[in-house]
Amino acid sequence: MPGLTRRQTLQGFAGALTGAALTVDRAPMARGAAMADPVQAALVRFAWVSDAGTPTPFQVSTVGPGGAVLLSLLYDTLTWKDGEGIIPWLAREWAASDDGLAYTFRLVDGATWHDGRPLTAEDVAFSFGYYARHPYTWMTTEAVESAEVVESGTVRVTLKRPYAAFLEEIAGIVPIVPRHVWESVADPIAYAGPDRSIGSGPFALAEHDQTQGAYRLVANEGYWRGRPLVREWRQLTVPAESQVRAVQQGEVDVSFGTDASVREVLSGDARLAVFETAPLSIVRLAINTERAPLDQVEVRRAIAYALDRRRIAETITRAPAIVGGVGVVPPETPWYNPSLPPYEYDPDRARDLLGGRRHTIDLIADAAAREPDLMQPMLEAVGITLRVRRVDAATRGQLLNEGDFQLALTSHIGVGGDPDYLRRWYAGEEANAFAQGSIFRNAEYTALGEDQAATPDAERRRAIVFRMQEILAEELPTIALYHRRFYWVYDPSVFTPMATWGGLMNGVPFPNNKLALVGT
Amino acid sequence: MVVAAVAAMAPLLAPHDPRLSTGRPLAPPTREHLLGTNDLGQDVLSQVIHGARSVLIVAGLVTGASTALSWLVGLAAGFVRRAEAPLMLVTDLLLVLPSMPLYFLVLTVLGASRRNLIAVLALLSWPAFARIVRSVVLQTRSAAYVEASRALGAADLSIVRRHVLPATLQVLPTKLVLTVRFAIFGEATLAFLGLGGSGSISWGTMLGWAFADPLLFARPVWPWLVLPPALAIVAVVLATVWVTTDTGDAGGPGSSRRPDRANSPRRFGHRSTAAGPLRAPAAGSAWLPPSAAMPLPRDEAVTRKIAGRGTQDARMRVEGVRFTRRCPPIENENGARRSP
Amino acid sequence: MRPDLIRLLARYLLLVVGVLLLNFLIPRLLPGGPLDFGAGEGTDSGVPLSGAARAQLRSYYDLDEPLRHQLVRYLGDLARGDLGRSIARPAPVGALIVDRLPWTVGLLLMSLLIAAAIGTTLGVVAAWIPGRPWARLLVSLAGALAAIPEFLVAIGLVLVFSVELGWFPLLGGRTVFAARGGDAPGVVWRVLDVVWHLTLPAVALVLVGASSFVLLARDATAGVRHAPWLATARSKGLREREVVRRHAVPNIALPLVTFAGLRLGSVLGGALVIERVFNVPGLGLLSYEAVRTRDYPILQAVFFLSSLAMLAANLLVEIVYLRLAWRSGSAHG
Repeated sequence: MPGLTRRQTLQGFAGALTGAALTVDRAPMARGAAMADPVQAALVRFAWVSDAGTPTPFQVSTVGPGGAVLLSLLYDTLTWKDGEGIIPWLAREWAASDDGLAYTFRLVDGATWHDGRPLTAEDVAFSFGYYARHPYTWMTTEAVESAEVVESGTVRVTLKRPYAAFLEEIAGIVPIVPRHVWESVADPIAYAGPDRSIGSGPFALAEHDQTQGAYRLVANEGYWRGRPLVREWRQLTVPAESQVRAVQQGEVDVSFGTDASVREVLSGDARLAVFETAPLSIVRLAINTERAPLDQVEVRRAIAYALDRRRIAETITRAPAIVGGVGVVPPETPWYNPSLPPYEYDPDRARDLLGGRRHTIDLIADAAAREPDLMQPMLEAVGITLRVRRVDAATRGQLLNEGDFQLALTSHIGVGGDPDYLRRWYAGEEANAFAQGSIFRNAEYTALGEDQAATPDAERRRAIVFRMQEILAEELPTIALYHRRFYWVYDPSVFTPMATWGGLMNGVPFPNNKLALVGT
Repeated sequence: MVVAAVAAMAPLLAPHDPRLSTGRPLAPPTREHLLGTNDLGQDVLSQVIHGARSVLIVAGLVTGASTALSWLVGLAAGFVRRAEAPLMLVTDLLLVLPSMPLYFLVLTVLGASRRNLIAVLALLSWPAFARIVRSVVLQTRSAAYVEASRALGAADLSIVRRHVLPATLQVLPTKLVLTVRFAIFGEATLAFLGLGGSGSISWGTMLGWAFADPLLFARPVWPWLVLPPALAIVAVVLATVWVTTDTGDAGGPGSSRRPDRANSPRRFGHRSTAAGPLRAPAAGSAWLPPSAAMPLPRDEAVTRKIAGRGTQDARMRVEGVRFTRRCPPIENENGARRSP
Repeated sequence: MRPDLIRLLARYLLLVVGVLLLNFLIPRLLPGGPLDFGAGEGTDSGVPLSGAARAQLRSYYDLDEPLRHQLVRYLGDLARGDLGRSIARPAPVGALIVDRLPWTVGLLLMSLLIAAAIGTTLGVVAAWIPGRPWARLLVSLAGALAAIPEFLVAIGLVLVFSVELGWFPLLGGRTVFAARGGDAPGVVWRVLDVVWHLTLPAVALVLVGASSFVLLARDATAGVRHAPWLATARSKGLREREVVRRHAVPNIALPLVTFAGLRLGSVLGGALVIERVFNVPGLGLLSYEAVRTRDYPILQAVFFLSSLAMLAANLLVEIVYLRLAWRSGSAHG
């Protein structure tokens, strides 16, 4: 993978501000970097597997990424991402102070809320202040100290400490909300006013069928970037088993799957196409490094060698295997370190590492997970008896949070975006859902984690992040079994999918980046 | 019987180890894999064979435990005054909570595994028949012949053994059939909903695996992934009913006392005096909270009331009791299947 | 009558209290809490909640309070008719239930009535003129149908009529956003749309439900046909039709009405399996999701309402039963 190959310098804007130059790193995605010109369409029906809740930043469903991505069509953020990196959005330009503690954003002209009122710097400053009291569940703004209006159309956000991920993770994810709606709202979780979904995004909420989890969005004619190409966007809740069939029967236009063989299933259908995303989903074993025998690195390595991860991946994804990166970061993503030890399948080496000792290890896994059924015979062959305990997601969440486990099989998205998650997973105090079960103490790793978060320079940060991946590969506090792509089945006559650099939001492999619906 | 034999000899009969991937995933039937392979390349035929063992264990244990509980609680509530109120309260509570969501909930509390599945199905399926057993006890206690033997000085325990227990055994075959079916359906349905715990191979979990594939019906695989376990379930349930009904009709000493069984030759009219062709219809009667041999669980109010009237209206009591026997129980365990 | 009735009501009151406590406790026995629905399987990964957001949500939903405080609050809210707010999808539980009630009730009620009507008719007829091949076939068929788990019946229907033939829709309870561009569809269209969506789930429920009624009615009728008191009635010189109407039917009706009544009581529990397979937005699906996401308020409310309905149905049956038993008792007396 080329990694960070192209860098682009955006000039800081002149004026009374401390004019520091800001660098934005842009790296091409491995595939689908260049997007075809998006098509125009009167109506696109998008299917997702679960209900997204009420589309406001405070009431959106906390189950799955469907809600957060839906919000991105209704609301705008200061920055955004295209196929190659971070791009200006509501902020037409920005500058960071030399110490990395303050970011000054100059907003675009002509942005308005869906009710016609102008979007101002006051709204932006208000949003960060409001999120400090009422957190946005999808992205914490804890790093933000304060936000204030510098002059008309200009906002300065001050951080508690330098945070390299700020532009991508906070400025690019946290929706800016209208001050005139929320200012007087004390309990945003319960707020039911008719103006609660007013944003500034390219689409406005027209109807929400709560019972069926269906949303009808209409184009925002006065959108500051121009009239959206898609006139109406619907998000519908369709159970996983009906997704592909629904798009085949014309009930929806875009549907989702994780199974590569959808290509064969659709091979006779000239009307539909399949869009495969970068492998932003990870299926991994979380390891409790404080429980014997897993406190010995030899045992952890033996497990890695004993598992034929290629075969597990091929069997379950029905696609060419993308064997898990032992440094957690998936291949084909911007921060992947390609020179890590591969831990190829080698049962003899596993037996050597175990030195003839037998172990019995407990694994907690989802009731439907098939990986344990494949892993059991492989581990048995090297002298490890795997006892599988089936639990549901919430039970697993609790066990992992409390550290009450030995091995846990977990699969999730959220890798591939800004690599700060490598720090957060093992930082301990943060109860990050993706980080659940990450029990690993390593002084060098912790220090490097702090270091990269405070390093704005991309090249230096990259070196640190690569070293962190090396430590993960040596110590194996988690073993990535494989990475998954999402396969989106769509009708090319109405929808043009788009790959986003490192995934939408925080590594979400959805194809509906709003750029593809608005045009560039 | 065939199932039992297959289950016993499963390791010998199965062509492959059902846990190992012995073929290409989702391969169609071949000589090597007569029923094809599943999503992991495991042999479907071997799994069906091993599943027979699982079905026997689940159905056997659930039915045994559930039946024992029904009788224990029913007899205790019918005989021990002090225990009656609390036992019946628990029984009613379990009957009143929505069944399927309750199974789902409790199984989630315990964690999905075969052991827990058996425990949940057994622990939540006894109340309906506990009520029925208790009703029979109440009726029998006040029956003339029992009163007579009591008057003659027979001890309580011997009354239970000599008169009450045999009377309750009338409903045993029905209980057995219903619970076997309930256990098999319950296991399959919960597995379908993702709570089977794939640790053990059963027909339910096989269906669970098959339906976990979102593209199941888009590929030509369902004939060998879905049909074998599904047909196996239907066959075993039907067989259970037939076997039970046959032995029931053959008539142990207890069965002749059942008014409905006594009637059975006449029930099907003049044209069907031969017993043979009546299997299926007879089987039908075992399905349900059937009219036959099944007193109403709710009847104690009536029974008590009528009994309270004393002997002045013995006729009415007899009618009343007979009458109550026509009523089905409160939504019982088969409610789980009917409207979970 | 009076003391009996009081005892009856006291017993039911006790049951209601028990139901309330169980409904509060059982969900909280579930391992993991509403905020633990963390990294799920790929597609439904939860939100990466930060420590602060988590703490704030815990206190917002009173999850950080001792259990008995939560219980007191729950009972207090309930007394005021407030069912609380859902945690997984921030919305009032009352509104969520009101939204879904018509689907569950409509679907189950409709199919229960149809199943009862068809099943009873067929059952009575099959028993009154037994021995005919079709009567036996019918009963065997009902028996065989009762040997197929509900979800397989449902999936079979989806497979044939939705997936292969495409006659019925795959999705949900009605066409969403049918009103496009201002011309709202008429009432007739909307009714037909719902009927079209609910046909398959209803057929599944009728198929499974009717077999019970066939067998029950068949057995009840067969049991009654040769009863001595019917012979008495006949000997009094009544015509066969009169015998059926005045003596047999009341006796068949009682178990059937009881059965139907109790089934009616379970309607609010929803039809989880059917709703899941056909994606009907009913109460069963709601509670299924609520178990997965540990949504205590929804679980409490749905369980409470369905238990209450079941209790009410039982009470009703018991009262009706008392009256009917008296009447028919005296009829033979």
